[in-house]
Amino acid sequence: MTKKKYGLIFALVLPIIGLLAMVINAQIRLWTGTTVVLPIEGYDPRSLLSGHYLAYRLVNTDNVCKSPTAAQANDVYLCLEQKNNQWVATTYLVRTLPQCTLYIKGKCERTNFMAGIERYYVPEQKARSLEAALRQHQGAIELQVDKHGKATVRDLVIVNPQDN
Amino acid sequence: MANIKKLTMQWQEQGLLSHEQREKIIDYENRKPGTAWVLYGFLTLGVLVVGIGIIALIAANWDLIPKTVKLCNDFVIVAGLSFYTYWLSQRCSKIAYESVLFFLLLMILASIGLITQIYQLGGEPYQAILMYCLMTAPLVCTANFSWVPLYWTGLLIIFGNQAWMDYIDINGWGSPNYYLIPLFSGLLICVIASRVLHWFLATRSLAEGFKHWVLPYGLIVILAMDLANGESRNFSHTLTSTPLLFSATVNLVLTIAVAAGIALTPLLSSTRKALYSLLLLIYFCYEILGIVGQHIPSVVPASLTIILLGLIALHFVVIEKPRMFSLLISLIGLRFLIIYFQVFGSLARTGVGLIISGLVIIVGATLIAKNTDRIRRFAQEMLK
Repeated sequence: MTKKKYGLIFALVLPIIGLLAMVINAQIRLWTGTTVVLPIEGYDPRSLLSGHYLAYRLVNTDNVCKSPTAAQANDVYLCLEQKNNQWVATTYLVRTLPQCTLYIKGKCERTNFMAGIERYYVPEQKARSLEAALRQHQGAIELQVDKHGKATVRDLVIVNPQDN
Repeated sequence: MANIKKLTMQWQEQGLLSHEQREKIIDYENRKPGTAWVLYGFLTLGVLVVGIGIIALIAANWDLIPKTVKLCNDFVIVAGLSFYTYWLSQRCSKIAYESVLFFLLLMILASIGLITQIYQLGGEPYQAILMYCLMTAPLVCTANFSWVPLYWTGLLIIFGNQAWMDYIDINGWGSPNYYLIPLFSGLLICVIASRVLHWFLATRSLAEGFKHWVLPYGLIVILAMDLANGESRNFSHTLTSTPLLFSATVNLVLTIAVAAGIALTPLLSSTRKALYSLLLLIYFCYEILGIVGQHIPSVVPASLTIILLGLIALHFVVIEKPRMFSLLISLIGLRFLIIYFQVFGSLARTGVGLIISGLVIIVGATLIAKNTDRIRRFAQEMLK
């Protein structure tokens, strides 16, 4: 086989390896770490690029990005503590690794704490009812959080579903 | 066929062909195997309709399909297309290879979207696109024509700019003029990439892609600068944050690299070197003006825009592209017209003002149309 053929085979196989790596990485994140469920509040914007998704934020994170230090930081840590078998966000630290049981690492975009988990893709026919549930504070997000504070979305939880 | 007959008749009437030669040409064309366009048209339509039907069926039942099935099918399609692309590369059909290659690239992009949706992955769209560009760069290098590299480099430019703007705007409070830094730097990167990647045989198709984007990107940058300089600005931050300083430094390095490239390229004549150096200098000054200038009279950015467009027009004179030269002259005319309306804005709304404006447009357009060739010849003489 000539160099050109080897080159072409490499070029064709590389994207497949890349896609497989994406899947394996995402799956490993779901298998490892700690499962937490946190309440959310949100809205439903439409984006041509990102498809049909619910956008939300974690409840009780309003104060995280209000301080001038946090507002300009790229590494903000949200501490999570377990109370009555439920995980709650307690305190936050800027630029310093916290000593709490579990934490989520994020950053501040304007006044919002963002950890890359603020989006959930939903079927179009269920979007409106899910949006209504979120507006009534009936929504929660199930996350898988690893020891480095990286959170991955597992599922959207609705306490009183309106779409049945 | 009718076209050949008409053309050969005209050539015969002008004495370019004899009657016997015309007959031989028409006879040769008649004997060629014809293309059953109608049949191919219907077959293509049929395939398209079947394809749309399959997509509609899948879309209607999308939620019922398990995630594993979706993923497996996706990988089977991508792998199958990759194999088909390789098989086509061993045949001599370059157009078929190119078409399937393009379809494979779109399929890979769709696969990233599918994985993102299935696993609810967060992040910005530009992160996914840049990863896609990295994964598919070697594949794009195998393209024979320019539309695949054009598509790939277009994505890289747009989303690379977005990534850089996001890097500068870490907390969302940055001045919008700082976004000019990635925009300016992007054009310089295109110019450098189109030269450097051309040195290596394997990356020549990428070089072509970047080269084709230089002019449209350059015109967009000039338009952005013109618009930015038309707005009054208040700065909320000075140029002290690390991302801004880093970006400004990179921009300066790129400018120096392009200047060095112009100076050290042996094949460029001294006239062209002077032309490109002046273009780069004015471009750099325009950039500084756009980023840090305040309360500038609108005639200054307008003049710089016209000078830049004029220099680009001269470039097309040098490389003998008269149509592009005419286009640039028309753009200069348009910019003059905008200056006219900016100066005489309120007067133009009256009846008399509208008549005068219309006459200016007619006279201006006529003058440009009649004198484009003369201007081009003059410029050619001047640049000899």
